[in-house]
Amino acid sequence: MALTSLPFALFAIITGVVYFVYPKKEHRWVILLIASCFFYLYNSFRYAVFILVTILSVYFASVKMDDISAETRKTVKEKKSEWTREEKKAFKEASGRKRRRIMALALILNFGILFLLKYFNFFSGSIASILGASPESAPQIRLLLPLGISFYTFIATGYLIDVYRETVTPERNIFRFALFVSFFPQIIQGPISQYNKLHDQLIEPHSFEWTNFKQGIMNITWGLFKKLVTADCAWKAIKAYYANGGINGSEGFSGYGGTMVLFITLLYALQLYTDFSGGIDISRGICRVIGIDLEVNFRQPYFSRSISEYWRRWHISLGAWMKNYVFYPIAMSELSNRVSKAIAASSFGKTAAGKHLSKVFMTAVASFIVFLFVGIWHGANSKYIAFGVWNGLIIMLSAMLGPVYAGSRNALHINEDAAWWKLFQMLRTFIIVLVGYVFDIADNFTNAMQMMFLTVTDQNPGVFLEQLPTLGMRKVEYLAIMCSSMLLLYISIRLEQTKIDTPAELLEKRCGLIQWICLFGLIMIILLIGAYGPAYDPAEFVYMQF
Amino acid sequence: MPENSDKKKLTIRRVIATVTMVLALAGSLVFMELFLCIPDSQALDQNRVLMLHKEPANTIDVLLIGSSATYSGFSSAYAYEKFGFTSWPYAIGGGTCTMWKPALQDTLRTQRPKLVVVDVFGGGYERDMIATRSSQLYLIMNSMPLSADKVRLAKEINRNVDNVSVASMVFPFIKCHSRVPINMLRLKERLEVERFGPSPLKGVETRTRTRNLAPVDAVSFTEESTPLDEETERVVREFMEYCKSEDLSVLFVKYPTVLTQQDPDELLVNLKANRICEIAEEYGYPSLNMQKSFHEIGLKEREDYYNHGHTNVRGQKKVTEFLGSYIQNTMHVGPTELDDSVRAEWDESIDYYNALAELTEELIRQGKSESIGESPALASDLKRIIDGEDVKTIADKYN
Repeated sequence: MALTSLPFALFAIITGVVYFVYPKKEHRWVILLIASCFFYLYNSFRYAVFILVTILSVYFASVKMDDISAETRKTVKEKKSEWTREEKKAFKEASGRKRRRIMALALILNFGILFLLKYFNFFSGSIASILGASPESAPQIRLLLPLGISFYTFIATGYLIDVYRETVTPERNIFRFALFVSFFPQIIQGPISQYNKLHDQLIEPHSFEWTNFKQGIMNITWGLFKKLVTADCAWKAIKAYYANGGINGSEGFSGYGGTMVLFITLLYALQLYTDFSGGIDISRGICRVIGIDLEVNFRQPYFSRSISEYWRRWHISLGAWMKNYVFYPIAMSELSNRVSKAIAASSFGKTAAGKHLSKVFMTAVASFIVFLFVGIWHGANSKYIAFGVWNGLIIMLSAMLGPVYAGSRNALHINEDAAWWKLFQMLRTFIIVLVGYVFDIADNFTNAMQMMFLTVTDQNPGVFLEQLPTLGMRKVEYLAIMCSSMLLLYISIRLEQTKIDTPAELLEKRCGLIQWICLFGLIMIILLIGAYGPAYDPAEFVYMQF
Repeated sequence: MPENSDKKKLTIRRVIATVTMVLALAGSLVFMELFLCIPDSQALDQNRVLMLHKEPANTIDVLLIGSSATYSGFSSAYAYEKFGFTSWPYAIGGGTCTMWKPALQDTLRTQRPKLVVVDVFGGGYERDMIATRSSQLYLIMNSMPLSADKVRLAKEINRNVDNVSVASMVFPFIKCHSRVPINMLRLKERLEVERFGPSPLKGVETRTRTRNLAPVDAVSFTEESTPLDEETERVVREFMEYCKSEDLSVLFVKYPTVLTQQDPDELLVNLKANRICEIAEEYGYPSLNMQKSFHEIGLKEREDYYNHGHTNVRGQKKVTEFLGSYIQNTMHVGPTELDDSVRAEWDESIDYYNALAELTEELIRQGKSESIGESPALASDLKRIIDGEDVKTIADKYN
C-alpha cells in the first residue's frame, strides 16, 4: 500500500473520517493506533514481530529506568539525614549504572536486530571477500527488511536515550507508546520524530478544523505533484540509464559518456529530492488534516551555502537524531576533552593552527563519525559508506581549515554578503552534493570513481544528444520535468524568502478563489501527466528502502 | 447571535466551495474519460465500436468479431446490398482472442445478433502478444458505461491479460491519462463523432492501395494444425462456453491472406487457426477457412490486397460475396424485417459504399495510400460524391 496508491488514499480517508466522528474525543488516539496497526500488518505482516520486539523492549526498558530513578530519588530523600554525601553519591552512581545497563541492553537488542536484518549479509560478504572466499559462500540471512525498520528503530531508541537522560517522562501506557513508534504516516519514510514533539499531539484529541483540512490537502497534493510528476518521470530516465548498463554499456550499447553521466546525476538530484520530500509532504499533509504537526524534514536543501548547512536542511530529523545521540556524546565525551587538552598542551598547540585544532579537532572527528553512520544508515553497500565518508571528510576539513578559508576570503577582499558570493557558495555546495550522489547512482565505489572521471574528461554534447533517445523518454516527459522543475524552483525561492515551511501556508495568504484554482490546477496536472496507472512501472519511494 | 450566523455562513460557503471543487474534478474526469483517452492511431477502431451502439437496438443480424482482417475483409453495406441481412464488424486492429468475449458482451448490451462470426486470426498470435496487448480492450471498455457488468468484465479481462488492473479497465483514464493533452487537439473531431450516427458507413475500413508487388512464392493451404499454448486455448474455450451459455449461433472463420514462404509467422497463424476450428467443432460450432477457397473466391494476390494480410476494397467485395453467401445459404441468415427508417438508413449505406469504392479507386490511381474508415469526415466526403461532386476533387484533398 504505497503512499501514492488508491488503497492508501481510501485507507487515509477512512481513518480521518472515523477519527473525527468518533464521539469520545479523549480516545481518538485509539483510532490512530488501530489504523497504524492495520497499516503495518497489511504491509509487513510477516515481519511485524520485529516492531513488536522494539515496542516491548523499549517500553519496558524505559519504564524500568524510570522506576529506578523514582526509587533512587525516594530512597535518597528518605535517607537524607542518615547517609553521608559520599554514600548518597555512591547510591546514585549504582542506580545510574543499573539504568545504563538497561539502556545498553535495549539498545544492543534493537540495533542488533537492525544490524542483523540490514547489514549482516553485507559485512559477512565483505569479511568473506577479505579472507579470499566468495561473498556468496558467506553465511546469509534470507529475510526482507521489515517496513520502516531504520525509522522506527531510531524513533524508539531516541526516546529510550531521552528517558535515560531524564529529558522526557516515559509513557506508562504501552498502547500510547506503541502508537508513537508505529504511527502510520511516518513509518514508511520518516520523519524520525522526537518524543517530546510528537507524543502529546498524538494523544490529545483534535477536532476538525477547516484551515488544517485545507492546508493538509494542499500539502498532500503538492507531495503527489513532486512524486508523480517530477520524481517518477525523472526516475524513468534513470532506470533506462541502469538498464542500458550505465557507463559500461550492455549488449549492443557501448556505454554512456560524461555529459550523460552529468545529466543523470542532475536528474537523480531532482528525483531524490522530489521523491523523498514529496513523500514527507504527503505524510505531513495527512497529519495536518487531523491536526498533528509532523516535523519539517526539508528546507530547500539545494540552496545551502555549505555542506554542514545542507545537512541541516536535508532529512532534518535524521540530522537532529545524529546530533543528539551520536555527535554530542562523542564531542562532549571525556576522551574528546582529553584529546583537546593534549593538543593544546603540545608544542603544536601553542601555534595558531594548533590552538584552532585543539578547539575543533574532536568536533570535526565527531562530525566525520556521524556522517559515516549516516552513510551506513542509508544501506549496506560500500557506495553508501563512501557517500558518508565523502560528506564527513568535507565537513571535517571545512571545520579544521576554517581559518585558512577565512584568511583567503579576507585576502581576496570578498564581501560575504555579496549576492555573487552566496550564489557561488550554493553552486559549490551543490557540486559537492552531486559528487556524493554519484556514489548513490553507481553500482559500487569503483564505478563511482569511473563516472566522476568521465564527467570531468568526457564532455561531449554531440554524443549526449545522440544517446538521449536511449533513455526512452517522450518529449512530453522532458517537458513535464522541465516545467515542474521551474515551478519547484519558484516555490522554493518564495519559501526561502518568506521563511515559510510549506506552499500551503504560502497560499494561505492569497484569496480563497486563487487557492482553489491552484489546488484544482495542481490536481489536474497530476492527473494528466503524473506517472501512475498500468502504463507506468511504479517507482517505490527511494527512502522506503532505508 | 451575529457571530453564530457568520460562522454558519462561512461553513455553508466552505461546503459549497468543496462540493464545487469535487464536482469540477469529477466532471473533468468524466469528460476526459469519455472523449480524450483513445490514441489517435485507434480513432477509426473506436469510432466503429461507438457507431455500433448508435444503431437502433436489435437491428443487427450478424455480428463479426475480430482483428483488422475482419474490417478489411467484410463490408456490411455491401453484404446488405447483396444478401439483405444487416451486420457490423466489431473489429479492432491487432485484436487478439482476449477481446472476443468483451466485444460480444459489449454488443449484447444493445443488440441480439442471429449469428456471430468470429475471425480466428486473433487466436493465432503469439502468447506474449495475446497476454500483453491490451489497447483494444481499453478501447472496448471505453465504450461501455459504468455498470456492474463493466466491473465484472474488467475482472475477467484482468485474469486473461497481464499488466491490466481492474481499476484501469473500469476507468481507462487511469491507463490512458498521458494521452489526454495530445488528444485535446482532436477534441472537435471527437465531439463530432459523438453527434454523428447512426453511421451510413457501417463500420467500414480500408486502405487505398494495391499490394502490387513482385510475385511471391505462394504457399498452398494445409489442413494441418498446431497446438495453441495453454493460456490461449483456455481463453478460446472460455469464449465458446460463454457463447453456449448465451445460446448463440457462432461461425468461426479464417479470412484469406497471401501465404508466402517468406512469412513463416503467417503460416504458423494458419496452423493455429486450423486448431481453433477443430476446437470449435468440439463445441458443435461450424467453421469456414476461406484460405482453402482463395482461388474459388477469385482473389488476386497483387490486385486485391493492400498488404499480405488485408484485402483492399476490390478484395473486400469478393470476400464479402463469398462469406455473405455462406452466411445466407449455410447459416440460414436471410433478409431481415426492418422499420422503414432503419431500412432507409441501410439503403443509404449502399450509396455510401459505392462512393467509397469510387474514392478508393481514384486514390489508388493517384498513388495515395490512405487508411479510410468510420468517421464523420469520410462520411461527409462520400456524401459530396453521392451528391454529384467530382471524385477527383475529393481525392485531391488527401495527401
